[in-house]
Amino acid sequence: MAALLAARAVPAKSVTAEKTAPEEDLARRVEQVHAESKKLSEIEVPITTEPAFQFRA
Amino acid sequence: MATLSDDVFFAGVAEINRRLRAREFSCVELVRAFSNRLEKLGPRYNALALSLREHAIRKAKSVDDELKRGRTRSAVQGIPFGAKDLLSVAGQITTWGAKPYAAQIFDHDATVIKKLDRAGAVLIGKLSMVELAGGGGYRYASASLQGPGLNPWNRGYWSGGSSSGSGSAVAAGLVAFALGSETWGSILTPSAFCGVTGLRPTYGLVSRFGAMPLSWTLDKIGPMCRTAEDCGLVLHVISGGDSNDPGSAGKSFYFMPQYSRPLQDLRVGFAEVDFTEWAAPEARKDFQAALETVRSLGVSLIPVELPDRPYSLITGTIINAEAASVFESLIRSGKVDELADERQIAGLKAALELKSTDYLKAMRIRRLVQEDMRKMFAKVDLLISPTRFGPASKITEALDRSSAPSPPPRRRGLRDLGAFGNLCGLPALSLPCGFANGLPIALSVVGRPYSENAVLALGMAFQKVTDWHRRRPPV
Repeated sequence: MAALLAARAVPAKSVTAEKTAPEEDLARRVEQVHAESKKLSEIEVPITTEPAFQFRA
Repeated sequence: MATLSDDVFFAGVAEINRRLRAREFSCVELVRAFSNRLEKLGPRYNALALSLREHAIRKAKSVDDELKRGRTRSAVQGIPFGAKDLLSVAGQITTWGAKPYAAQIFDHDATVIKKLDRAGAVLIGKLSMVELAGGGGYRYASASLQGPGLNPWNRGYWSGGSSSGSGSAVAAGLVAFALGSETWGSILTPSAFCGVTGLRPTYGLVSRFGAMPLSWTLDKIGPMCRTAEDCGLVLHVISGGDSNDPGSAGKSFYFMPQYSRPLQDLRVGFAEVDFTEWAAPEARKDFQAALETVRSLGVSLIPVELPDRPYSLITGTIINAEAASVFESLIRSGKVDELADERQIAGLKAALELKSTDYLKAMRIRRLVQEDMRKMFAKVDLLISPTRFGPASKITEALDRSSAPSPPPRRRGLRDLGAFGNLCGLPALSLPCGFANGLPIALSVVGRPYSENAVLALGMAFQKVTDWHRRRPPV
């Protein structure tokens, strides 16, 4: 009987809600954006280099 | 009514045009035959977004009238073609391959559609694509309103994207040529995987008006055809300045193969490591044979290597920033959740986190890449490299996993030619050059800006001595 009761014991509910797959995907992609931002910040570019905008007036 | 043999479905533009003018069949007969084939077989590859049969037959009748009166317009007159479903056709649904836009209708034709119509070409259908041309980055081939693009050579494999339907439809002879678009790989990849010849023109040479924007400074529209010659004929029609397109270069392209420089005068840059270590093992034999074929044409082959820069990081940052701005209201409204691919949804949402300083930094590094390009093209006239290092992946495979060899080769060669070429707005031609595991592989020829005639000349010479572009999938 004790064994049955133990087997049926319900584990305590987790305090934090588990992330869904889409939320995990989003968190990973946001992390990636931040990581790439850091990589970009580490690249030295001469101060006189302008952005390569294609448009002309 | 003439019965068209299967040959006509796999014939080049110039040949079909010649046979039309010789009245072997009428334009109406030709268009009916292609429309039947597109409607019947297009769904087999998830290639068809929308049949435009009635519109096409009306146009075909007017072409027949003109031909009867001896009025010839262009080499594409009477030729049935398909357009990637990011190009607007007035009064018709244009889905952008994406559920949120499934009922979208524009009141104007894209400039390229108008130009082809004026030249007498006959639009018979809209062709499927990866949703939003893959903006945000997708994980699976199923990232499309029309389902995964299936490869006519083996439907268990991907047709490539984002111009998936365009690649499949040309390969399977459902259209004589198609229009695709490329931001980063979307003409060249499906061309390579489906064994067709695709041309990414110089940025600004072809108007983007009426095309879904993904990344304003990277988007290009180009032809996907059976041959390099056909690409030249179509580009001749669709290119040219357009005041409706802020990125238009205001330049025209005249297809002049008869005036190209002799091949013996051409310096062609290549990297041995691309054809050996970077290439997938099953593709190396045919890639190396293709390299020898290019050598046999009499060009000077010169070893080169791209400078060490973070090309993927820069290109990805630019696309993400521009796409996030284009689709900002889609993302903030939550309608982005209707897209098919979870990774793409996440990518678009995350892109809103990008800082303006990151975008500007990427655009400044892009300026440095353009300087590298000018130095490179002082030494060579063209660059060649495998379009993709291996054949198409299985339909169920995740596309965001690296297929690079492990450990990677020590020399980088021209491995990042795709990103480099798109960052600099360079023209590129993908040429079928063999098979690996029964699936097509292709060689890319890349030139300096506005050198399409030289790029096409090498392509045409390659196709004169090979027959990969004439092979047909088991349809």
